[in-house]
Amino acid sequence: MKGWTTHTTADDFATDATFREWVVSGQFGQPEHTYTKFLTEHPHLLPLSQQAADLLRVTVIPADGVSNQELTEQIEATWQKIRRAEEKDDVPVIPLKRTWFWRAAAILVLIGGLSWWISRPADRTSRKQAATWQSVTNQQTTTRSLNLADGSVVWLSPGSTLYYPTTFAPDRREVTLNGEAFFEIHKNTRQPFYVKTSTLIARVVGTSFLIKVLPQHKGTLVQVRTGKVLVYRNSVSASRESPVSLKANEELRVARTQEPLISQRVQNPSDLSERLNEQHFEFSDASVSQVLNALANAYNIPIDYNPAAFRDCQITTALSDEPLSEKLAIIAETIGPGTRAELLDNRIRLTGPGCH
Amino acid sequence: MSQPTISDEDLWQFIRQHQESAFSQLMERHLSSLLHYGRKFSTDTNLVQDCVQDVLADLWLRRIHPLPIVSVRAYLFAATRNRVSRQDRKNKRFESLPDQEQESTFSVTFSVEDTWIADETERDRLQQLNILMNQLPPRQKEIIYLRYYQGLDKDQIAAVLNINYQSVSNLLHRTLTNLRNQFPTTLPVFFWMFLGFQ
Repeated sequence: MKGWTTHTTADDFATDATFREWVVSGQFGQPEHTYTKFLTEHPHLLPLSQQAADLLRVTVIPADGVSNQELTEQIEATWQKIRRAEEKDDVPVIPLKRTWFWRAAAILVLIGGLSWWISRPADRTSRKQAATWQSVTNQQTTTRSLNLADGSVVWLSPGSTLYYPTTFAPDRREVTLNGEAFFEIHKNTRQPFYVKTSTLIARVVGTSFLIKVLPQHKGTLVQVRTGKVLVYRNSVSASRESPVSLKANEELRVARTQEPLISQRVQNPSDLSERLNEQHFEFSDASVSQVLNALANAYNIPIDYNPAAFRDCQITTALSDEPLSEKLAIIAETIGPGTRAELLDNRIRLTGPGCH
Repeated sequence: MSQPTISDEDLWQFIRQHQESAFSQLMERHLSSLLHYGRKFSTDTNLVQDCVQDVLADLWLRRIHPLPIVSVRAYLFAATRNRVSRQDRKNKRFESLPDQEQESTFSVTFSVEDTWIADETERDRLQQLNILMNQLPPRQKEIIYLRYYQGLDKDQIAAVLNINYQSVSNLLHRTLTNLRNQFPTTLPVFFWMFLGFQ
Protein backbone atom coordinates (compact mmCIF):
# COMPACT_ATOMS: atom_id res chain seq x y z
CA MET A 1 0.00 0.00 0.00
CA LYS A 2 2.89 2.35 0.72
CA GLY A 3 4.08 1.94 -2.87
CA TRP A 4 0.74 3.21 -4.14
CA THR A 5 1.79 6.83 -3.75
CA THR A 6 4.24 6.40 -6.62
CA HIS A 7 1.60 4.97 -8.99
CA THR A 8 1.00 7.30 -11.92
CA THR A 9 -1.36 5.28 -14.13
CA ALA A 10 -4.39 3.06 -13.74
CA ASP A 11 -2.20 0.31 -15.19
CA ASP A 12 0.08 0.57 -12.15
CA PHE A 13 -2.88 -0.12 -9.90
CA ALA A 14 -4.39 -2.85 -12.06
CA THR A 15 -1.14 -4.84 -11.92
CA ASP A 16 -0.42 -4.19 -8.23
CA ALA A 17 -0.82 -7.47 -6.33
CA THR A 18 -2.13 -5.89 -3.12
CA PHE A 19 -4.60 -3.74 -5.01
CA ARG A 20 -5.85 -6.71 -7.05
CA GLU A 21 -6.41 -8.77 -3.91
CA TRP A 22 -8.43 -5.92 -2.49
CA VAL A 23 -10.61 -5.73 -5.61
CA VAL A 24 -11.11 -9.50 -5.70
CA SER A 25 -12.13 -9.48 -2.04
CA GLY A 26 -15.11 -7.27 -2.97
CA GLN A 27 -14.06 -4.72 -0.39
CA PHE A 28 -12.92 -2.07 -2.85
CA GLY A 29 -14.27 1.35 -1.83
CA GLN A 30 -15.87 0.13 1.39
CA PRO A 31 -15.83 3.25 3.62
CA GLU A 32 -14.38 1.60 6.71
CA HIS A 33 -11.57 -0.19 4.84
CA THR A 34 -7.97 0.92 5.59
CA TYR A 35 -7.15 1.12 1.87
CA THR A 36 -10.18 3.32 1.19
CA LYS A 37 -9.07 5.67 3.94
CA PHE A 38 -5.55 5.67 2.52
CA LEU A 39 -6.83 6.58 -0.93
CA THR A 40 -9.04 9.40 0.34
CA GLU A 41 -5.98 10.81 2.05
CA HIS A 42 -4.25 10.80 -1.36
CA PRO A 43 -7.03 12.20 -3.58
CA HIS A 44 -4.87 12.33 -6.72
CA LEU A 45 -4.88 8.52 -6.67
CA LEU A 46 -8.69 8.25 -6.56
CA PRO A 47 -9.46 8.40 -10.30
CA LEU A 48 -6.61 6.04 -11.14
CA SER A 49 -7.63 3.46 -8.57
CA GLN A 50 -11.30 3.75 -9.52
CA GLN A 51 -10.44 3.19 -13.17
CA ALA A 52 -8.27 0.19 -12.34
CA ALA A 53 -10.91 -1.34 -10.08
CA ASP A 54 -13.55 -0.86 -12.78
CA LEU A 55 -11.34 -2.45 -15.37
CA LEU A 56 -10.58 -5.48 -13.24
CA ARG A 57 -14.21 -5.94 -12.24
CA VAL A 58 -15.63 -5.82 -15.76
CA THR A 59 -13.04 -8.02 -17.49
CA VAL A 60 -13.29 -11.15 -15.37
CA ILE A 61 -12.24 -14.34 -17.14
CA PRO A 62 -12.93 -17.67 -15.51
CA ALA A 63 -9.94 -19.94 -14.89
CA ASP A 64 -10.02 -23.36 -16.52
CA GLY A 65 -9.04 -25.03 -13.29
CA VAL A 66 -6.40 -27.44 -14.54
CA SER A 67 -6.02 -30.05 -11.82
CA ASN A 68 -2.62 -31.26 -10.64
CA GLN A 69 -3.42 -34.62 -12.16
CA GLU A 70 -4.09 -33.08 -15.60
CA LEU A 71 -0.94 -31.03 -15.30
CA THR A 72 1.05 -34.16 -14.54
CA GLU A 73 -0.51 -35.96 -17.50
CA GLN A 74 0.31 -33.09 -19.83
CA ILE A 75 3.93 -33.00 -18.68
CA GLU A 76 4.24 -36.76 -19.14
CA ALA A 77 2.61 -36.61 -22.59
CA THR A 78 5.10 -33.90 -23.59
CA TRP A 79 8.04 -36.04 -22.45
CA GLN A 80 6.69 -38.92 -24.54
CA LYS A 81 6.56 -36.67 -27.60
CA ILE A 82 10.12 -35.59 -26.87
CA ARG A 83 11.30 -39.21 -26.54
CA ARG A 84 9.71 -40.14 -29.85
CA ALA A 85 11.31 -37.16 -31.58
CA GLU A 86 14.71 -37.88 -30.03
CA GLU A 87 14.59 -41.51 -31.08
CA LYS A 88 13.73 -40.52 -34.61
CA ASP A 89 16.68 -38.14 -34.80
CA ASP A 90 19.44 -39.81 -32.88
CA VAL A 91 19.27 -43.58 -33.06
CA PRO A 92 21.10 -44.89 -36.07
CA VAL A 93 19.21 -47.66 -37.85
CA ILE A 94 21.29 -50.80 -37.92
CA PRO A 95 20.03 -53.37 -40.41
CA LEU A 96 19.46 -56.72 -38.76
CA LYS A 97 20.56 -59.87 -40.53
CA ARG A 98 17.55 -62.03 -41.08
CA THR A 99 18.61 -65.10 -39.26
CA TRP A 100 16.79 -67.14 -36.70
CA PHE A 101 19.26 -65.93 -34.11
CA TRP A 102 18.27 -62.31 -34.47
CA ARG A 103 14.59 -63.14 -34.48
CA ALA A 104 14.97 -65.18 -31.31
CA ALA A 105 16.98 -62.42 -29.74
CA ALA A 106 14.39 -59.85 -30.71
CA ILE A 107 11.62 -61.93 -29.19
CA LEU A 108 13.62 -62.38 -25.99
CA VAL A 109 14.21 -58.65 -25.76
CA LEU A 110 10.54 -58.03 -26.39
CA ILE A 111 9.51 -60.43 -23.66
CA GLY A 112 12.07 -58.93 -21.31
CA GLY A 113 10.86 -55.45 -22.10
CA LEU A 114 7.24 -56.39 -21.66
CA SER A 115 7.79 -58.08 -18.32
CA TRP A 116 9.81 -55.10 -17.19
CA TRP A 117 7.03 -52.78 -18.33
CA ILE A 118 4.41 -54.80 -16.49
CA SER A 119 6.43 -55.21 -13.33
CA ARG A 120 7.85 -51.72 -13.23
CA PRO A 121 7.15 -50.12 -9.89
CA ALA A 122 4.21 -47.76 -9.66
CA ASP A 123 6.38 -45.06 -8.19
CA ARG A 124 7.53 -44.08 -11.67
CA THR A 125 4.59 -41.71 -11.67
CA SER A 126 6.23 -39.63 -8.96
CA ARG A 127 8.77 -38.59 -11.58
CA LYS A 128 6.11 -36.36 -13.00
CA GLN A 129 5.99 -34.20 -9.92
CA ALA A 130 8.65 -31.85 -11.08
CA ALA A 131 11.15 -31.14 -8.35
CA THR A 132 12.01 -27.62 -7.33
CA TRP A 133 15.57 -26.58 -8.00
CA GLN A 134 17.45 -24.64 -5.43
CA SER A 135 20.98 -23.46 -4.96
CA VAL A 136 23.38 -23.15 -2.07
CA THR A 137 26.47 -20.99 -2.20
CA ASN A 138 29.14 -21.44 0.44
CA GLN A 139 29.90 -17.93 1.58
CA GLN A 140 31.97 -19.08 4.53
CA THR A 141 35.73 -19.37 4.47
CA THR A 142 35.74 -23.08 5.24
CA THR A 143 34.27 -26.15 3.58
CA ARG A 144 30.57 -26.58 4.21
CA SER A 145 28.65 -29.86 4.33
CA LEU A 146 25.38 -30.28 2.51
CA ASN A 147 23.06 -33.25 3.04
CA LEU A 148 21.13 -34.24 -0.08
CA ALA A 149 17.72 -35.91 -0.08
CA ASP A 150 19.21 -39.32 -1.01
CA GLY A 151 21.69 -39.48 1.91
CA SER A 152 24.65 -38.25 -0.12
CA VAL A 153 26.88 -35.59 1.39
CA VAL A 154 28.48 -32.77 -0.59
CA TRP A 155 31.44 -30.89 0.89
CA LEU A 156 31.23 -27.53 -0.79
CA SER A 157 34.39 -25.42 -0.94
CA PRO A 158 34.27 -21.69 -0.14
CA GLY A 159 32.76 -19.58 -2.93
CA SER A 160 31.28 -22.62 -4.72
CA THR A 161 27.64 -23.14 -5.64
CA LEU A 162 25.64 -26.34 -5.90
CA TYR A 163 22.29 -26.44 -7.69
CA TYR A 164 20.10 -29.37 -6.73
CA PRO A 165 16.44 -30.41 -6.67
CA THR A 166 14.60 -30.81 -3.37
CA THR A 167 13.73 -34.36 -4.40
CA PHE A 168 15.42 -36.51 -7.02
CA ALA A 169 13.68 -38.22 -9.93
CA PRO A 170 13.25 -41.96 -9.32
CA ASP A 171 15.63 -42.91 -12.11
CA ARG A 172 18.35 -40.29 -11.73
CA ARG A 173 19.93 -37.88 -9.31
CA GLU A 174 21.17 -34.67 -10.93
CA VAL A 175 23.07 -31.72 -9.54
CA THR A 176 25.03 -28.88 -11.12
CA LEU A 177 28.25 -27.55 -9.66
CA ASN A 178 29.98 -24.25 -10.04
CA GLY A 179 33.29 -24.27 -8.18
CA GLU A 180 34.71 -27.14 -6.16
CA ALA A 181 33.13 -29.89 -4.09
CA PHE A 182 33.95 -33.28 -2.68
CA PHE A 183 31.10 -35.73 -3.21
CA GLU A 184 30.27 -38.71 -1.05
CA ILE A 185 27.53 -40.45 -2.97
CA HIS A 186 25.04 -42.81 -1.42
CA LYS A 187 25.16 -46.07 -3.34
CA ASN A 188 22.05 -46.76 -5.42
CA THR A 189 22.54 -48.62 -8.68
CA ARG A 190 18.99 -47.89 -9.83
CA GLN A 191 19.37 -44.16 -9.50
CA PRO A 192 22.71 -43.03 -10.93
CA PHE A 193 24.07 -39.73 -9.71
CA TYR A 194 25.07 -37.04 -12.24
CA VAL A 195 27.20 -34.01 -11.54
CA LYS A 196 27.24 -31.45 -14.31
CA THR A 197 29.58 -28.55 -14.83
CA SER A 198 29.98 -26.32 -17.84
CA THR A 199 32.35 -28.79 -19.48
CA LEU A 200 31.60 -32.27 -18.16
CA ILE A 201 29.02 -34.67 -16.84
CA ALA A 202 30.17 -37.23 -14.26
CA ARG A 203 28.01 -40.29 -13.74
CA VAL A 204 28.40 -42.43 -10.64
CA VAL A 205 26.45 -45.02 -8.73
CA GLY A 206 28.08 -44.72 -5.34
CA THR A 207 31.57 -43.47 -4.62
CA SER A 208 33.54 -40.50 -3.37
CA PHE A 209 35.28 -38.03 -5.63
CA LEU A 210 36.23 -34.40 -6.07
CA ILE A 211 35.10 -32.11 -8.84
CA LYS A 212 36.71 -28.75 -9.38
CA VAL A 213 35.75 -26.22 -12.02
CA LEU A 214 39.10 -24.62 -12.83
CA PRO A 215 39.41 -20.85 -13.13
CA GLN A 216 40.14 -19.06 -16.40
CA HIS A 217 38.17 -21.55 -18.49
CA LYS A 218 40.70 -24.30 -17.99
CA GLY A 219 37.92 -26.84 -17.76
CA THR A 220 36.91 -29.14 -14.93
CA LEU A 221 39.01 -31.56 -12.90
CA VAL A 222 37.66 -34.85 -11.54
CA GLN A 223 39.61 -36.78 -8.88
CA VAL A 224 38.28 -40.14 -7.80
CA ARG A 225 38.97 -41.32 -4.27
CA THR A 226 36.94 -44.51 -4.21
CA GLY A 227 34.75 -46.41 -6.64
CA LYS A 228 34.30 -45.58 -10.29
CA VAL A 229 33.21 -42.46 -12.16
CA LEU A 230 32.18 -42.20 -15.80
CA VAL A 231 33.05 -38.83 -17.32
CA TYR A 232 31.31 -37.41 -20.39
CA ARG A 233 32.07 -34.18 -22.14
CA ASN A 234 29.15 -31.78 -21.63
CA SER A 235 28.81 -30.78 -25.23
CA VAL A 236 26.28 -31.71 -27.84
CA SER A 237 28.81 -32.04 -30.63
CA ALA A 238 30.76 -34.58 -28.58
CA SER A 239 27.80 -36.90 -28.07
CA ARG A 240 29.44 -39.63 -30.13
CA GLU A 241 32.61 -39.59 -28.04
CA SER A 242 32.66 -42.42 -25.55
CA PRO A 243 32.93 -41.58 -21.87
CA VAL A 244 36.11 -42.15 -19.88
CA SER A 245 35.92 -44.48 -16.93
CA LEU A 246 37.94 -43.32 -13.93
CA LYS A 247 38.97 -45.65 -11.12
CA ALA A 248 40.11 -44.85 -7.60
CA ASN A 249 43.13 -42.53 -7.43
CA GLU A 250 42.71 -41.43 -11.03
CA GLU A 251 42.01 -37.96 -12.27
CA LEU A 252 40.95 -36.34 -15.52
CA ARG A 253 40.69 -32.79 -16.77
CA VAL A 254 38.01 -31.86 -19.27
CA ALA A 255 38.58 -28.57 -21.04
CA ARG A 256 36.27 -26.74 -23.37
CA THR A 257 38.47 -27.37 -26.34
CA GLN A 258 38.33 -30.73 -28.00
CA GLU A 259 41.58 -32.05 -26.57
CA PRO A 260 41.45 -35.81 -25.95
CA LEU A 261 40.29 -37.11 -22.57
CA ILE A 262 43.25 -38.84 -20.90
CA SER A 263 43.21 -40.02 -17.32
CA GLN A 264 46.23 -40.10 -15.03
CA ARG A 265 47.06 -40.82 -11.41
CA VAL A 266 45.85 -38.16 -8.99
CA GLN A 267 48.55 -35.48 -8.77
CA ASN A 268 47.42 -33.19 -5.94
CA PRO A 269 44.70 -34.83 -3.87
CA SER A 270 42.38 -32.51 -1.94
CA ASP A 271 42.90 -32.12 1.81
CA LEU A 272 39.70 -33.94 2.63
CA SER A 273 40.44 -36.98 0.48
CA GLU A 274 43.98 -37.13 1.84
CA ARG A 275 42.73 -37.12 5.41
CA LEU A 276 40.16 -39.76 4.54
CA ASN A 277 42.87 -41.89 2.93
CA GLU A 278 44.99 -41.69 6.07
CA GLN A 279 42.21 -42.84 8.37
CA HIS A 280 41.13 -46.44 8.68
CA PHE A 281 37.72 -46.50 10.20
CA GLU A 282 38.03 -49.95 11.68
CA PHE A 283 37.21 -50.14 15.34
CA SER A 284 37.14 -53.00 17.78
CA ASP A 285 35.86 -52.33 21.29
CA ALA A 286 36.57 -48.66 20.75
CA SER A 287 35.05 -45.89 22.85
CA VAL A 288 32.53 -43.51 21.33
CA SER A 289 34.93 -40.62 21.70
CA GLN A 290 37.64 -42.52 19.81
CA VAL A 291 35.28 -43.21 16.91
CA LEU A 292 33.84 -39.71 16.79
CA ASN A 293 37.24 -38.09 17.08
CA ALA A 294 38.50 -40.14 14.16
CA LEU A 295 35.58 -38.91 12.06
CA ALA A 296 35.85 -35.33 13.30
CA ASN A 297 39.56 -35.26 12.46
CA ALA A 298 39.11 -36.74 9.01
CA TYR A 299 36.27 -34.43 8.06
CA ASN A 300 37.62 -31.50 10.06
CA ILE A 301 34.35 -30.66 11.79
CA PRO A 302 33.33 -30.37 15.46
CA ILE A 303 31.24 -32.84 17.48
CA ASP A 304 28.29 -32.05 19.75
CA TYR A 305 27.63 -34.74 22.32
CA ASN A 306 27.73 -35.52 26.00
CA PRO A 307 30.78 -37.78 26.52
CA ALA A 308 29.55 -38.84 29.98
CA ALA A 309 26.33 -40.32 28.58
CA PHE A 310 28.22 -42.55 26.16
CA ARG A 311 31.11 -43.42 28.49
CA ASP A 312 30.12 -47.08 28.79
CA CYS A 313 29.60 -47.72 25.08
CA GLN A 314 31.98 -49.91 23.12
CA ILE A 315 31.94 -49.94 19.37
CA THR A 316 33.16 -52.56 16.97
CA THR A 317 32.59 -51.67 13.38
CA ALA A 318 34.26 -51.11 10.02
CA LEU A 319 33.38 -48.09 7.94
CA SER A 320 34.48 -47.56 4.38
CA ASP A 321 33.54 -44.99 1.76
CA GLU A 322 29.92 -44.37 2.73
CA PRO A 323 28.86 -40.72 2.98
CA LEU A 324 29.49 -39.31 6.46
CA SER A 325 25.76 -39.23 7.17
CA GLU A 326 25.65 -42.98 6.56
CA LYS A 327 28.74 -43.64 8.67
CA LEU A 328 26.98 -41.83 11.50
CA ALA A 329 23.82 -43.87 11.01
CA ILE A 330 25.89 -47.07 11.26
CA ILE A 331 27.53 -45.83 14.46
CA ALA A 332 24.15 -44.89 15.95
CA GLU A 333 22.81 -48.33 15.18
CA THR A 334 25.89 -49.96 16.73
CA ILE A 335 25.48 -47.97 19.95
CA GLY A 336 21.88 -49.01 20.38
CA PRO A 337 18.20 -48.04 20.13
CA GLY A 338 17.26 -44.42 20.70
CA THR A 339 20.62 -43.16 19.49
CA ARG A 340 20.79 -40.48 16.81
CA ALA A 341 23.99 -39.47 15.10
CA GLU A 342 23.58 -36.78 12.47
CA LEU A 343 25.49 -34.34 10.35
CA LEU A 344 23.86 -30.96 11.00
CA ASP A 345 25.21 -27.60 9.88
CA ASN A 346 28.76 -28.79 9.56
CA ARG A 347 28.72 -30.48 12.97
CA ILE A 348 28.39 -34.06 14.10
CA ARG A 349 25.66 -34.36 16.67
CA LEU A 350 25.17 -37.45 18.81
CA THR A 351 22.20 -37.82 21.14
CA GLY A 352 20.61 -40.75 22.94
CA PRO A 353 20.28 -42.66 26.17
CA GLY A 354 23.82 -44.09 26.06
CA CYS A 355 24.73 -47.62 27.16
CA HIS A 356 24.11 -49.20 30.58
CA MET B 1 21.95 -18.32 1.71
CA SER B 2 19.72 -20.56 -0.40
CA GLN B 3 17.20 -19.33 -2.92
CA PRO B 4 14.21 -21.65 -3.01
CA THR B 5 12.74 -20.35 -6.28
CA ILE B 6 14.66 -19.52 -9.39
CA SER B 7 13.74 -17.39 -12.37
CA ASP B 8 12.69 -18.71 -15.78
CA GLU B 9 15.92 -17.44 -17.21
CA ASP B 10 18.03 -19.31 -14.63
CA LEU B 11 15.96 -22.42 -15.25
CA TRP B 12 16.63 -22.00 -18.95
CA GLN B 13 20.39 -22.15 -18.26
CA PHE B 14 19.91 -25.57 -16.61
CA ILE B 15 17.73 -26.69 -19.50
CA ARG B 16 20.49 -25.72 -21.90
CA GLN B 17 22.67 -28.09 -19.90
CA HIS B 18 20.18 -30.88 -20.61
CA GLN B 19 18.68 -31.04 -17.14
CA GLU B 20 15.35 -32.73 -17.62
CA SER B 21 13.99 -31.98 -14.18
CA ALA B 22 14.57 -28.27 -14.78
CA PHE B 23 12.47 -28.56 -17.93
CA SER B 24 9.71 -30.38 -16.04
CA GLN B 25 9.74 -27.53 -13.56
CA LEU B 26 9.44 -25.00 -16.37
CA MET B 27 6.51 -26.91 -17.86
CA GLU B 28 4.78 -27.11 -14.50
CA ARG B 29 5.18 -23.37 -14.16
CA HIS B 30 3.63 -22.41 -17.51
CA LEU B 31 1.37 -25.23 -18.65
CA SER B 32 -1.94 -24.04 -17.22
CA SER B 33 -1.39 -20.48 -18.52
CA LEU B 34 -0.62 -21.81 -21.99
CA LEU B 35 -3.65 -24.10 -22.03
CA HIS B 36 -5.83 -21.20 -20.88
CA TYR B 37 -4.42 -18.93 -23.59
CA GLY B 38 -4.69 -21.60 -26.27
CA ARG B 39 -8.35 -22.13 -25.53
CA LYS B 40 -9.03 -18.54 -26.48
CA PHE B 41 -8.19 -19.51 -30.07
CA SER B 42 -9.91 -22.85 -30.24
CA THR B 43 -12.75 -24.58 -28.45
CA ASP B 44 -11.22 -27.97 -29.22
CA THR B 45 -9.59 -28.92 -25.90
CA ASN B 46 -7.66 -31.84 -27.37
CA LEU B 47 -6.26 -29.72 -30.15
CA VAL B 48 -5.10 -27.10 -27.66
CA GLN B 49 -3.45 -29.71 -25.43
CA ASP B 50 -1.74 -31.24 -28.43
CA CYS B 51 -0.45 -27.88 -29.64
CA VAL B 52 0.86 -26.87 -26.21
CA GLN B 53 2.67 -30.22 -25.91
CA ASP B 54 4.24 -29.65 -29.33
CA VAL B 55 5.33 -26.15 -28.38
CA LEU B 56 6.97 -27.44 -25.19
CA ALA B 57 8.56 -30.45 -26.89
CA ASP B 58 10.00 -28.14 -29.57
CA LEU B 59 11.48 -25.90 -26.91
CA TRP B 60 13.29 -28.87 -25.32
CA LEU B 61 14.51 -30.18 -28.66
CA ARG B 62 15.90 -26.80 -29.64
CA ARG B 63 17.34 -26.04 -26.21
CA ILE B 64 20.90 -25.64 -27.47
CA HIS B 65 19.88 -22.80 -29.79
CA PRO B 66 19.35 -19.29 -28.48
CA LEU B 67 15.75 -18.26 -27.86
CA PRO B 68 14.35 -16.11 -30.67
CA ILE B 69 12.47 -14.01 -28.09
CA VAL B 70 14.08 -12.55 -24.98
CA SER B 71 11.81 -14.06 -22.37
CA VAL B 72 10.95 -17.76 -22.08
CA ARG B 73 7.37 -16.99 -21.08
CA ALA B 74 6.83 -14.64 -24.04
CA TYR B 75 8.30 -17.23 -26.38
CA LEU B 76 5.94 -19.93 -25.09
CA PHE B 77 2.92 -17.63 -25.43
CA ALA B 78 3.88 -16.59 -28.96
CA ALA B 79 4.49 -20.18 -30.06
CA THR B 80 1.22 -21.39 -28.51
CA ARG B 81 -0.69 -18.56 -30.17
CA ASN B 82 0.74 -19.32 -33.60
CA ARG B 83 0.32 -23.05 -33.43
CA VAL B 84 -3.18 -23.18 -31.98
CA SER B 85 -4.63 -20.52 -34.26
CA ARG B 86 -3.10 -22.11 -37.35
CA GLN B 87 -4.13 -25.66 -36.45
CA ASP B 88 -7.63 -24.59 -35.51
CA ARG B 89 -8.08 -22.78 -38.81
CA LYS B 90 -6.71 -25.77 -40.71
CA ASN B 91 -9.23 -28.08 -39.06
CA LYS B 92 -12.13 -25.75 -39.66
CA ARG B 93 -11.32 -25.37 -43.32
CA PHE B 94 -12.83 -28.80 -43.84
CA GLU B 95 -16.02 -27.87 -42.07
CA SER B 96 -16.91 -24.29 -42.86
CA LEU B 97 -17.03 -23.01 -46.39
CA PRO B 98 -15.50 -19.56 -46.61
CA ASP B 99 -11.81 -19.30 -45.89
CA GLN B 100 -11.18 -15.63 -45.41
CA GLU B 101 -8.54 -15.86 -42.74
CA GLN B 102 -5.46 -17.96 -42.28
CA GLU B 103 -5.64 -17.94 -38.51
CA SER B 104 -8.24 -18.03 -35.78
CA THR B 105 -8.55 -14.89 -33.72
CA PHE B 106 -8.55 -14.42 -29.99
CA SER B 107 -12.00 -14.80 -28.54
CA VAL B 108 -13.04 -14.22 -24.97
CA THR B 109 -16.14 -13.04 -23.15
CA PHE B 110 -15.41 -10.80 -20.20
CA SER B 111 -17.81 -11.16 -17.32
CA VAL B 112 -18.63 -9.29 -14.12
CA GLU B 113 -17.96 -11.11 -10.90
CA ASP B 114 -20.72 -10.38 -8.38
CA THR B 115 -18.63 -11.26 -5.36
CA TRP B 116 -16.10 -8.58 -6.33
CA ILE B 117 -18.72 -5.87 -5.95
CA ALA B 118 -19.92 -5.04 -2.46
CA ASP B 119 -21.93 -1.99 -3.38
CA GLU B 120 -25.29 -2.72 -5.05
CA THR B 121 -25.45 0.68 -6.72
CA GLU B 122 -22.22 -0.02 -8.54
CA ARG B 123 -23.59 -3.09 -10.25
CA ASP B 124 -25.55 -1.46 -13.06
CA ARG B 125 -22.73 0.83 -13.98
CA LEU B 126 -20.25 -2.05 -14.09
CA GLN B 127 -22.64 -4.19 -16.16
CA GLN B 128 -22.75 -1.45 -18.77
CA LEU B 129 -18.98 -1.08 -18.73
CA ASN B 130 -18.74 -4.82 -19.22
CA ILE B 131 -20.85 -4.62 -22.37
CA LEU B 132 -18.51 -1.96 -23.71
CA MET B 133 -15.44 -4.03 -22.95
CA ASN B 134 -16.91 -6.99 -24.77
CA GLN B 135 -17.41 -4.83 -27.86
CA LEU B 136 -13.69 -4.08 -28.11
CA PRO B 137 -11.84 -5.51 -31.12
CA PRO B 138 -10.13 -8.89 -30.52
CA ARG B 139 -6.63 -7.43 -30.44
CA GLN B 140 -7.50 -4.96 -27.69
CA LYS B 141 -9.20 -7.70 -25.70
CA GLU B 142 -6.16 -9.88 -26.11
CA ILE B 143 -3.87 -7.16 -24.78
CA ILE B 144 -6.10 -6.73 -21.72
CA TYR B 145 -6.06 -10.49 -21.23
CA LEU B 146 -2.26 -10.80 -21.52
CA ARG B 147 -1.64 -7.79 -19.31
CA TYR B 148 -4.17 -8.21 -16.51
CA TYR B 149 -4.96 -11.91 -16.57
CA GLN B 150 -1.57 -13.42 -17.46
CA GLY B 151 0.55 -10.63 -16.02
CA LEU B 152 2.81 -10.16 -19.04
CA ASP B 153 4.62 -6.84 -19.30
CA LYS B 154 4.34 -4.60 -22.34
CA ASP B 155 7.60 -5.85 -23.85
CA GLN B 156 6.42 -9.42 -23.64
CA ILE B 157 3.01 -8.59 -25.09
CA ALA B 158 4.68 -6.80 -28.00
CA ALA B 159 6.78 -9.92 -28.65
CA VAL B 160 3.79 -12.27 -28.43
CA LEU B 161 1.62 -10.20 -30.79
CA ASN B 162 4.56 -9.29 -33.01
CA ILE B 163 3.81 -5.57 -32.82
CA ASN B 164 5.96 -2.81 -31.39
CA TYR B 165 6.03 -1.66 -27.80
CA GLN B 166 4.45 1.68 -28.61
CA SER B 167 1.39 0.02 -30.15
CA VAL B 168 0.84 -2.04 -27.03
CA SER B 169 1.18 1.06 -24.89
CA ASN B 170 -1.20 3.04 -27.05
CA LEU B 171 -3.84 0.33 -27.18
CA LEU B 172 -3.74 -0.16 -23.42
CA HIS B 173 -3.97 3.56 -22.84
CA ARG B 174 -6.88 3.86 -25.24
CA THR B 175 -8.75 1.08 -23.48
CA LEU B 176 -8.28 2.64 -20.09
CA THR B 177 -9.28 6.14 -21.18
CA ASN B 178 -12.30 4.63 -22.90
CA LEU B 179 -13.40 3.42 -19.52
CA ARG B 180 -13.05 6.88 -18.08
CA ASN B 181 -14.75 8.68 -20.93
CA GLN B 182 -17.79 6.49 -20.88
CA PHE B 183 -18.87 7.64 -17.45
CA PRO B 184 -17.03 10.82 -16.72
CA THR B 185 -19.34 12.11 -14.03
CA THR B 186 -20.30 8.97 -12.18
CA LEU B 187 -16.78 7.61 -11.89
CA PRO B 188 -15.38 9.01 -8.68
CA VAL B 189 -18.83 9.54 -7.24
CA PHE B 190 -18.41 7.04 -4.50
CA PHE B 191 -15.31 8.62 -3.10
CA TRP B 192 -16.66 12.15 -3.27
CA MET B 193 -19.71 11.04 -1.35
CA PHE B 194 -17.51 9.47 1.23
CA LEU B 195 -15.46 12.62 1.54
CA GLY B 196 -18.60 14.71 1.82
CA PHE B 197 -19.80 12.77 4.83
CA GLN B 198 -16.58 13.20 6.72
